[in-house]
Amino acid sequence: MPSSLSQQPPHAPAPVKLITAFGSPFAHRVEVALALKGVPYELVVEDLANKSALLLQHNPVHRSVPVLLHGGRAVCESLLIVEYVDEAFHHGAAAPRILPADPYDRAAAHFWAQFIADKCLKPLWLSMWAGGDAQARFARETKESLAILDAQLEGKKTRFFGGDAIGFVDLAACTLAHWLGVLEEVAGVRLVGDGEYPALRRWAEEYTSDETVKRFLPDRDELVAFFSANKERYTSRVRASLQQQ
Amino acid sequence: MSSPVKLIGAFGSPFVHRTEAALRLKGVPYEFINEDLEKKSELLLKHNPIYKKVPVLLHGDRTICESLVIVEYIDEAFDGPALLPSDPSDRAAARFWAHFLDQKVPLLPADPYDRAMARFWAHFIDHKACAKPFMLSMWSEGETQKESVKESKENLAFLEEQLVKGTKRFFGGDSIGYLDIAACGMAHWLGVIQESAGVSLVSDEDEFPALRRWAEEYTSDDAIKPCLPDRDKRLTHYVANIDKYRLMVKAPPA
Repeated sequence: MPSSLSQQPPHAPAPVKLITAFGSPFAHRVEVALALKGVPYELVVEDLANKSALLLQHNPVHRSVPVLLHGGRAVCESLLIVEYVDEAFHHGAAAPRILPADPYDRAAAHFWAQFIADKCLKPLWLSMWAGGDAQARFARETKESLAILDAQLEGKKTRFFGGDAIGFVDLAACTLAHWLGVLEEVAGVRLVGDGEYPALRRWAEEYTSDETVKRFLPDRDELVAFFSANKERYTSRVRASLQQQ
Repeated sequence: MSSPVKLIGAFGSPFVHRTEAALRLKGVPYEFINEDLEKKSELLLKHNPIYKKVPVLLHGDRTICESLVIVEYIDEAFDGPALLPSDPSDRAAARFWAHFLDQKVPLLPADPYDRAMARFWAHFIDHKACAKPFMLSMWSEGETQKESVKESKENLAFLEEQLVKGTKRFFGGDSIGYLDIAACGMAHWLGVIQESAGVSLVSDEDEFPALRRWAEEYTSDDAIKPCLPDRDKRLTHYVANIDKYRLMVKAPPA
């Protein structure tokens, strides 16, 4: 064993590991959060077709990534991890906040993150792979939600959902900034027409050009290749789950 | 925070109950505005245009929607004495008495990891344990129903494990907290729905003993009892609407 390991200073913070997988927007959220809070971490990359014992041990309920390991304890579900990172690594009053300090603003952030997850991202995913009548239904639902988000941004006139800095809701919406176009291309399903959702497009541009965010955006061409390779699997899974009623 | 608090709710809803439970536990006075869900008011539609659902909390000129978001807001916005004295030693005294009198009990734990766990299990309840698999186990038939019962029991087992692990009275420890409130459906509505549908997820005396004990503790608590809807009335309601629910699980999502 290297001598440096046995000479850890007693006050050294517990190491942080992030179990991740290529291309995951959920893992991206956590990586950006860790970077915003200045937390060093080790990445453990999973092959989701061949899940490791480590992953299954630490996320027995959902068996998904990302999973944060901090001092031997596991935190699962990307937005919960983001919130945990925001709270557990908040050092000093001047430290950047991912969620706002005010309870009402926090409630609003939680509300919009939930809306994005339930009303945007869920039907978005289904609209890509469902086919038939279901496809049209989910596309319609997604578009209605995108319009609501667009109106929110239009009303705020700030660079990001939370203001002038990247925050919780921006991370919640990251799929819309970088993955949406990729999915549309791979699935051959166009949700966003020319000129639609201008405020959302502007936000996406701001988000993907941010210095911190940029470091954790997977390469677009690699994403296209990745989702294309998995297209059959997504399609059969989504269609099977819709059958089961 | 002395602005008036109003809660738009509807009789019988476990989501509304969550928010009432939180207000009561924090000792926050509020006005309950009962909504007829068959004929939604302008007030509701104005304050929750996206979901058009109850509960909705109105606090002064602020609106908060979604039951668990409301519960967290209540926990944070009504955290301490309304006005802290400016003299530090008075503030110390104020905090001492607030703590001593057990006012404003925090609903979410103080430790970030414990908070993450409470949120994780609340999320699990809303998206898994009390969601589609549960509804299918109650109101579908054949293979789908069998599979759903199996899955629902697995979900309950996860929650049972959480209670057993800490050998705690409540998910939150010695007093009712955020996760207990989130899990209220299992304490008071699960039994009624099971009975109305004739399906048993928790039948055997041996099954899920910790959850059973917890349900008993939760529903007998003095702060909780007054905002639990009458069991018999709930049973009548679920029996009367069973055909609607059976149709609902067959139909594709709207």
